[in-house]
Amino acid sequence: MPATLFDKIWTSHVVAELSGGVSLLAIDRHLLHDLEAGPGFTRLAEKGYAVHSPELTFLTPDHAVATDPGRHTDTNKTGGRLLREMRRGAFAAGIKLFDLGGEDQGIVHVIGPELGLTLPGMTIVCPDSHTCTHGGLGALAFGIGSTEVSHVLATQTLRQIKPKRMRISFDGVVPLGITAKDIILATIGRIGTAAGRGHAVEYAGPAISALSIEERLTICNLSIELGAKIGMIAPDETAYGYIRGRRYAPEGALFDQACRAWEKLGSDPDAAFDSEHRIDVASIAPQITWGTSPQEVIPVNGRIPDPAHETDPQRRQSMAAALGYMGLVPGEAIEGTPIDWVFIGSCTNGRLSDLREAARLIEGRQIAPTVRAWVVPGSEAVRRAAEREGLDQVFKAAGFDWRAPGCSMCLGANGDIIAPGARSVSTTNRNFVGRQGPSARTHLASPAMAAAAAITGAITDVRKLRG
Amino acid sequence: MPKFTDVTGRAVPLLRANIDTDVVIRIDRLIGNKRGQLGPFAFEAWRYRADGSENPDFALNQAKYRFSEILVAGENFGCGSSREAAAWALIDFGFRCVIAPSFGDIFAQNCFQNGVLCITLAKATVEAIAAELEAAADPRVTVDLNTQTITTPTGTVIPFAIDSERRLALLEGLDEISLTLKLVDQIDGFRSNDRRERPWIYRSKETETMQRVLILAGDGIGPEVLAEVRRIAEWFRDSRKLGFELREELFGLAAWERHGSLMREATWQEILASDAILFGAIGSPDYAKLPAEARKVDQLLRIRRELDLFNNLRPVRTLSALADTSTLRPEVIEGCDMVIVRELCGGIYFGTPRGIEPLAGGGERAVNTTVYTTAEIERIARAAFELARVRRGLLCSVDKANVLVETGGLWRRVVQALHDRDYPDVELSHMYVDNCAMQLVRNPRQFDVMVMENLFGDIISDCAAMVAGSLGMLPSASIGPRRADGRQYALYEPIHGSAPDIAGLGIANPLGAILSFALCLRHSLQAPQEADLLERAVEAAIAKGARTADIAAPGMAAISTRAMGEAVYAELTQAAA
Repeated sequence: MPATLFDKIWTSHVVAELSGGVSLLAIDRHLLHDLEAGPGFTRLAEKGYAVHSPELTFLTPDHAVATDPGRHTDTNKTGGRLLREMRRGAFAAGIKLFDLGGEDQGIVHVIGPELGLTLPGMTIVCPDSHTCTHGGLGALAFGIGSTEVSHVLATQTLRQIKPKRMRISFDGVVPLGITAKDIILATIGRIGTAAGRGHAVEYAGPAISALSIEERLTICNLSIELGAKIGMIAPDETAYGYIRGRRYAPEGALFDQACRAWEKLGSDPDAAFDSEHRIDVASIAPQITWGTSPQEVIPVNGRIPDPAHETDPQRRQSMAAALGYMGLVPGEAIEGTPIDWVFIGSCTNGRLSDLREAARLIEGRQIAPTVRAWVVPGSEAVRRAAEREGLDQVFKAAGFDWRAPGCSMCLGANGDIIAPGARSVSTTNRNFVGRQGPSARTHLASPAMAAAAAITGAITDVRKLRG
Repeated sequence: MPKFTDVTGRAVPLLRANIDTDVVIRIDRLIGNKRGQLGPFAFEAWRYRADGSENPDFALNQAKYRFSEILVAGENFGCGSSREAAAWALIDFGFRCVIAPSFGDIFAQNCFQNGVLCITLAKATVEAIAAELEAAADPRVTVDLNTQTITTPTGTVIPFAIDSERRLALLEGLDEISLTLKLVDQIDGFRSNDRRERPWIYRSKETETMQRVLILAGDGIGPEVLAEVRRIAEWFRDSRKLGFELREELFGLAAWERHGSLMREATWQEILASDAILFGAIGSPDYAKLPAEARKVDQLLRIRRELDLFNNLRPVRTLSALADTSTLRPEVIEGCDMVIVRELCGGIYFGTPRGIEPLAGGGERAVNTTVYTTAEIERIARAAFELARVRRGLLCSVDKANVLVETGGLWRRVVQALHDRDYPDVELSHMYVDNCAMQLVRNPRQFDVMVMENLFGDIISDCAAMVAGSLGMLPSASIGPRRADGRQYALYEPIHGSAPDIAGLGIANPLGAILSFALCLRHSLQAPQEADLLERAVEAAIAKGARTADIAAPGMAAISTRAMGEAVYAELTQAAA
């Protein structure tokens, strides 16, 4: 029976079929961060359960840690409380913690692939909706809630109803300078934030196979913004080459054995999907969101949409509200909208290739005097690599703040927020109302587009700056 | 989990599509506000105006919809972030049920986990209900999970579908974890099989390197107490499936009798290949009968020095049931829980110059020297800070810096600098060693982790031992540095000696040795939950009245070493059943 990549991994992890179409899935990797780890351990102890598989559980603080250079446990006070709870819980259960101040700390969805913890064919869960990121390496990964965290801690399994399968095929050749971020934003713009609901998405096609692993991670990261909590790309030689030699990856004969198994994971040629979409990448221009949902996105050379042209009354009301919140005028060009902040970082675009992409544009230039700009590397490893290449010097010379790894301004859980009414271009994944602070206005874009906006002080078509 | 059977209450329509979980509750509200306190922040961007006053146009603020228990929403309700707090915020606000054409997947799951019923109905049906609510003076609705029906203000009965297992779980308030753990055999079976099929999930090297545990029972009561430890260690290896090898070698007089050496070369090789040594005791009057050559080298000291076991841990914890075995008053020692971290490889015990020489004018001159380098101080201090971090976060560094300004001064400076640089989150205090001795007797509860040099540690930890009561109860661990290959030597031994006067009588207390194995589980075998299991079993045995002679209160029957070992073993097997 021909099966998809998703089918194969799902089926091979079913421990038991329960009533109501619910499967009991074995979980290979349980990743926890500072917002949920300590409370999770405390809740588990209150209920009287022990951690079932400490060796399959990994922790790192990222959401509530300060990103100030030289930060420590209590630089962000509430983050400090959570970190202490996390440390005690890790020690009590014998769980590996990539701690603040250590070499391996970073955003959980950055360090997983980096350390070789994320491998093809694995089931991976984490109490964060962007866990879908790990699908870029061919893992079946998704976000879970706090009560599900307790269930995984206590049993190393999860009850799930199997979603339907969607394939999005990307045809054509990606135009020069168009990034993975632009591709996925354009896709959400075309098919909407509810399209993937109830589905596990597989991204396929020559345009996808041509992407590096970091680009694949960016694509999969925004699956949840399509409504799909699972997004995956089939593993291939690019993936094996990425994985080889990483700390927790298999070595030698074990690696070869694993590769042979991974080669069999790809969707069979005649496998059926419940839903299919095709995206022609050749027509994609640099993207920028205008509204308060990732689907409210246009090419940077486009015009801000007009609610008057919208036939659905609910949609019209929504658009008007979004435009009002964002302080934008329908029908106007979005290019040239002045901005106050630029943020480069996050589990979407905080990796070395993202920093290189931005630095290439920034080199030798200054940020606009009206702009504040931050770069937050996705992990200590990314930070070290970037500093070895001198990228930190490029950013600092231009006027960026070079900060320490964490989720930071993506969602401001650590206090890194922008002022009410301030407008940012951000390489993150959500532009919801109040995401970067009360009444903050967020425009999502690629690192190159964020760099361009930092230089000009306004939303800018990055292609014009490349010259 | 709270039960959901039925609810009759006000329902409020909020038909916007794509209401995301950020709108339901902002993430920064979760830091500093616990579950149960989130009500004021639910939908805050829409409920309140910029000046903080209520927005009168928002449905939730209107008089007829106040205190609603049912929310009627638009499609894709609860999309966006997976935060479970969105469900908690709804509960804290007062909602028990949400009716919508569709829900964000993760949000719907979170609601069920928290006893909030999510009902999916066709969009037209949802809109019709909303229209009735707006028309009704009193927008009251009944949702009945037993009959799977919704009754509207006009009395229209609308049926709804729901998964049968979810329905039962909600009706009975059943915790999913206990439901799942009924399948533990299937779960374990899956993993055993998976380890063979996909070994790379569980390890990165082809052959797993097992931890090697070596028993050296030694002299006196060592063999008797380690026999009980061996049985328990085998149980952990076999029934708890901990991956370690267990071996045993003769040491001390027994080795002399069998092999002609207090520690033969083969034993030394075993020691070098091991990860953890479970040590009994050393010493006996019969050593005097051995040729001087044979007993020139203190073999235990050799092990400590050559394996560089610099980090000596002496935990001291009062067990309420044994409070009366201490010479200190129960109210003084109750609740005491501390660890003394003693530097074991440096200081005056090893410093040079050392020696004794006759003086020209008669008499002799003896010299011992305290020497400590920055590196030696830093490594023991680091171990102490790391331990304090995962306990109560307090470290007391003990020295004699006022008089021994050189060694004491260096000690204090290095510890303080390490704190300021790497461990500002741990609360550090400094105490002179004479005051420390006093404080231990006066108020031992004040201490969490203490760190000090070799000599002070030797003295202070024996003083602290009296807080817990009998020496027979107390374990210790001596741990070396982590080596390049990631491995670390450690030696675990009860603090009591070989007790030659009761050796062979079968009455010695094995708990110090058994609790030393618990330290081995915690520090060498990386299985702290198993260590907890063993420590709880020891406490349970004592609570039920098992007492060897050293801890039996007057009038209590004393049991043998064997019987005490069996009592702990019985508690273990019962707890794990």
